[in-house]
Amino acid sequence: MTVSRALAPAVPDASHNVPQLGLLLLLAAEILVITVGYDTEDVDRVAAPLANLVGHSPQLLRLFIAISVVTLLSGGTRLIADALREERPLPSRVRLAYLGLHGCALLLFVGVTATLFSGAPPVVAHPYAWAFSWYIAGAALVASWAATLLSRHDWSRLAHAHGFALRVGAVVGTAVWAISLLTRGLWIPLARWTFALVAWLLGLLYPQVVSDPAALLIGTPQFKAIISPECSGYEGIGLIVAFLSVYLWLFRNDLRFPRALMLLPLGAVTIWLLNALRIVALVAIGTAGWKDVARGGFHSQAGWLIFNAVALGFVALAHHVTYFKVATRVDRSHAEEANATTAFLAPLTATIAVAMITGAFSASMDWLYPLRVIAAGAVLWIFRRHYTGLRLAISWRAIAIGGVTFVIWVALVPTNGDLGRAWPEALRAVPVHWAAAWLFIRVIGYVVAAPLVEELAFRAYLTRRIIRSDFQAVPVGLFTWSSFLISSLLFGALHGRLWVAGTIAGMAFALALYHRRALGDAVQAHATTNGLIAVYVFTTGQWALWA
Amino acid sequence: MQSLQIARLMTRGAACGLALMFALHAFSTIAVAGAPTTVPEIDGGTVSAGLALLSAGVLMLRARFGSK
Repeated sequence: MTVSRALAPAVPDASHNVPQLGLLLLLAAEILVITVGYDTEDVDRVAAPLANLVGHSPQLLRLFIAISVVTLLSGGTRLIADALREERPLPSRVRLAYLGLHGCALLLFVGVTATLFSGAPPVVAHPYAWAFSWYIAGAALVASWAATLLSRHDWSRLAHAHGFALRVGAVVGTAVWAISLLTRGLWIPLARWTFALVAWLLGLLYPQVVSDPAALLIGTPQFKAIISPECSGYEGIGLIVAFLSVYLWLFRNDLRFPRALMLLPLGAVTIWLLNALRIVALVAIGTAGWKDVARGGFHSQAGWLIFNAVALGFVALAHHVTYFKVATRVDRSHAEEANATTAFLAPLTATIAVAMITGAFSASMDWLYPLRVIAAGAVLWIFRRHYTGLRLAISWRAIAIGGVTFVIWVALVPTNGDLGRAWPEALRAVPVHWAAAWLFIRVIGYVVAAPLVEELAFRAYLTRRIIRSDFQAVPVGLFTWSSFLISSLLFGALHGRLWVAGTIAGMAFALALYHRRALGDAVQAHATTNGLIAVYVFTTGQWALWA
Repeated sequence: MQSLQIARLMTRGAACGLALMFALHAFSTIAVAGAPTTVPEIDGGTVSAGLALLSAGVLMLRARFGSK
């Protein structure tokens, strides 16, 4: 296959921007390590107003994130492209010197943070000096990072070219951050309205409803729940309005305005009503005798399921109902691309959706796991004609990459999780043939279905979609730095708390793909890693590795 | 004619104001989402699966309904 159409890349190719991408990753890693490693509440022990301000530093991070998001949204892809394009690149020697300086600033900042947050005697004796040093070290850390990223000329060029986006980002981002502090007071009233609605709905279902409006406690004599402010619907309303706002902005050319803005209040009301139904369902499940399911899987999964249903439902509504959308011509190539996108992503989507639904009806052990394998297999079968050109020949090199990835995975993933105890106990509690059948399907799902589903989504689709919006015009296995790094990072993100190991594994599977430009090689490497993990789990009893 | 244009401008202004108000409200929720909760509506432990499902769903719907 050759690149047949000269379409604009979805993300600018980063082949010449490895230092910038590396520095962005470095900053993200530094923020992550410092915020996870040190708890700002520890500073509360230091009785000085300036030192206590340090305890509110997470607010500064939130302010920074709000300003960055709004700036990026208003500046769009042109801002990203301009930021990655160096008009006057720093000489390597100068960049290395700045990087060294940044390393020193990092050490200084971590040292001051560790001392300040420990509340050691020198801090108690001189709180103002330590707090002031903390701010200076933090500023040095950011300044040295900025100096390493771009030359002064390029920073000033960027500020000049995107002054409007920066001003919008600063004003709106700060307003968002300020309102975030002020609107906390709305949590309690919303919880009371949710409480009233849930009480009314439960009254329709049960003859006896237990309720304590003062404590926001509601339920039946068998099962009760407290509608805490966080459970009131506020999170869902916030997420859906944020999602729809960003969506309406990004795809504003496809939609009719101001009509499309109606989707915002409609989405907020819909998700609030569905959240009330979620609480009613929670009480109903608990009342029916499945208290562990209600408190466990249902509580953690139902919110995400509702959010996804409303978000995707409203996206479909916006593009399906002529009242909201601008009339567009759908040609044959567009329909083919839509089918190809669905063919590569639907197996993963179906697997995750079924996992969340079955997870919602499970306590600690997902006995309904076979449904995931059935869903993945069914979708793969439906779209099988789209996978014919993906080359599935045996590759010893890919198998070797899978072996090395297994070693890295075992070295990086902690083995002391709750899963290590829950699974063997649950399996011992059922007849041996049930346990064997479940384990067999689990192995099939882990070693066969998961590699196919994930490699189709990440290596066959995403690596190409990052290079061009018309991904079918890009050959499978075409290397660019941006597609390699972004797809691997997103693969890592899919693995949640195991994101570091997941990102490295994603890179390894991508390398297997690039060698012969054959998706089958990435699938084989992935299947080898998963197969070896399964064998390791069975031989060592380290069930936590099978998260 | 002029009054019609003014009315349209006012409608758009009000709509944009409403959108901005909701967007601010929404971002504010995310900005304070760091506070620990024991019984969350949106569980942080399953955020990766939730966002992966959302992203893949949006990409598929965009491919199906979006303009080129």
